[in-house]
Amino acid sequence: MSNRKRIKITIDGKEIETYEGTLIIKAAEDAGIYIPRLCYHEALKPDGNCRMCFVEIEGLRKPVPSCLTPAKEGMVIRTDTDALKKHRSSILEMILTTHPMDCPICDQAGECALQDYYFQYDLKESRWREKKEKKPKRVHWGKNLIYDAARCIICKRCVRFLDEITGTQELGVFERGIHSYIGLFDGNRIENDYSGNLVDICPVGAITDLDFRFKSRVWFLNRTPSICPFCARGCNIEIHTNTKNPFSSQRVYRIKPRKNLEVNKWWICDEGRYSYEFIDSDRIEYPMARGKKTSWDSVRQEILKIVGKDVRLYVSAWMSNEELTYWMQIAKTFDWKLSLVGKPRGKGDEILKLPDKNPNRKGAEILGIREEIGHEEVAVVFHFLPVSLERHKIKIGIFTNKFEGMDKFDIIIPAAVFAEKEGSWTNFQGKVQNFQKALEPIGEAKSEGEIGEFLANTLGLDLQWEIGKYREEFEKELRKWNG
Amino acid sequence: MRLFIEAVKGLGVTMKHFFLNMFYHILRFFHLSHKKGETVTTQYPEEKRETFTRVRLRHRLLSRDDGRLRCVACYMCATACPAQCIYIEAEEDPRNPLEKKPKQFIINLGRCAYCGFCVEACPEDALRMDVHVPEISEYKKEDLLYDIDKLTHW
Ligand code: SF4
Ligand code: SF4
Ligand code: SF4
Ligand code: SF4
Ligand code: FES
Repeated sequence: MSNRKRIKITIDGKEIETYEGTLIIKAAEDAGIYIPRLCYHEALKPDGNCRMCFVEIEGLRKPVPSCLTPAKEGMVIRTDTDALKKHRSSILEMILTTHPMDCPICDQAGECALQDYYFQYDLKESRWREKKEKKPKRVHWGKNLIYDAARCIICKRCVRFLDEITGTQELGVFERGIHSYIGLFDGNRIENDYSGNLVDICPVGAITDLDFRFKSRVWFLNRTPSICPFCARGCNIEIHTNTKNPFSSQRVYRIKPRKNLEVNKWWICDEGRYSYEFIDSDRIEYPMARGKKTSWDSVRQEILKIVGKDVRLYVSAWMSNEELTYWMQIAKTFDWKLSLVGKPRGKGDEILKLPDKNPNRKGAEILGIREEIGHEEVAVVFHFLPVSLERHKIKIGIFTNKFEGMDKFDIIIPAAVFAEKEGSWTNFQGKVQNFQKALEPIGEAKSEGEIGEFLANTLGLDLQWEIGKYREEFEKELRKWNG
Repeated sequence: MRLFIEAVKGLGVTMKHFFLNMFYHILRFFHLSHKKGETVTTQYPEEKRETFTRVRLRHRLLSRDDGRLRCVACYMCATACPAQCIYIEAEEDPRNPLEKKPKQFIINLGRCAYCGFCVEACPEDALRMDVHVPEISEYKKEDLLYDIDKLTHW
């Protein structure tokens, strides 16, 4: 990149600097000028089939597609002339002659490029008097995708994604002209690990997600920036929630990726996208003693029993940097031993997925917490069962979801999942990434920080949980670790 | 003294209305007159007052000729509703050509403001409101949650 020549171009009267050969649509976007597009996607090779992105260049007789034209020194470009607006309106009118316009039952409505551009550039009644072309509206493409040929505008983003990003090439364009549709090559189904991204890149509602289909309208959803917990990459995500419906216990409706070029680019894997169910179902909502519901008072009694005994904390690789630092502080004060537990390693791939299925093993490593087995009298276990618990006599658990063998624990304290608290994780690259609170903790669950404070106070230690303070302390450790 | 005069004047107005209304009541009792405009108690429920045609009352969900609900669970009514009292759960309609139908459709009439926005918003003309039936009363608050069953039977 850096050996490419810096050039100056003018877009809509604004002088901008870019590299020679950058596509005009990209150069403009980087400078804050948005050129409408349907087929162009930053991540994919340009195809130039939708003709939405035309711009005028001084010296050229006809408008050109900005997604195919590289910038050259001194170009003077206009993106907002009346002729261009008329051109866009005509393109839209043409697309809409074959479009079913079933926005009321289309899951994309509200975040649909076609809808948005129609309101921006077209906004007139259709002049089409013929019958609309009828096409299949419910084609199952694979485990989670439904294709609606009638809504498809043949922008080929999906085809290019499967060619260029996953390399699995399940889809192609069949037939011609008004009859064309996107179809699976013989014997294929879309079962790759990144299929959910097709729903995101499809600019219209032609690909819908079976998991989200008809669950909600998009404008009812609250969007909270967060981090995916399912592997050490820490993909940037958005959690879409709705807690306003008193007749539904579902709180999380879907997970969407957030663009971060250094970590996950534009994508997330299907595991991260579809595994949000644990946030709402099978949760431990109250303190439990030997598998039965109990009160916070008896939790306090039980905790008092560990005074003066040897204790081992099994902190987990799903806890935030701040919580780990805080619990380390507690352990240091009482002279307790520390080890790490987490999910076992799984499969990784070349795109995003990593074999380490924990979001914060790196954070624990920076703090010097290792996986070891102990034989102290008391074990305090977070989230995951260590290899062997038999040697510990008193077992205290801090868990989010119900699991096999809960009755073996003297006390289980209900913990908040990542979506119910704020904090940060350190991904495999050593990047500290924040996640925000999307929901209130379920039932009586508390965050691990609050549980730490509860435990410390019960044991007569005045050590407050202050997220900012422990963030700073963690960052000190991080600087030391980075050298 | 002035206060006393004003009080007597006030009493005069009261007495005037009292006797006038009483007179009309008696006429009415003997079916001699049904003149409107006087303050006459309507003997509900034996007798019902006419409602204006612009009044919007109980909601109804309409059906198509084949018995299916017209509603396609598009949530437009729920979106338009200022009281946020419409709760819809949608599901796949396996019969073509409609793709979507409501599995659950609840209007909380205890919260409804009877503004009629939901009727205006509906693209399918699936939701309408009664005009002349003012009886929307229940013994329990929960019974004011009208579901598909209650909204389609009247
Ligand atoms: S794809 Fe867009 S324009 Fe087409 S029906 Fe869906 S929301 Fe409407
Ligand atoms: S399915 Fe979507 S992404 Fe694929 S060609 Fe059609 S509109 Fe484009
Ligand atoms: S009448 Fe108004 S308040 Fe009542 S359900 Fe309809 S939109 Fe909501
Ligand atoms: S607006 Fe009409 S079609 Fe849409 S959900 Fe409401 S009643 Fe059903
Ligand atoms: S975005 Fe340039 S032609 Fe489609």
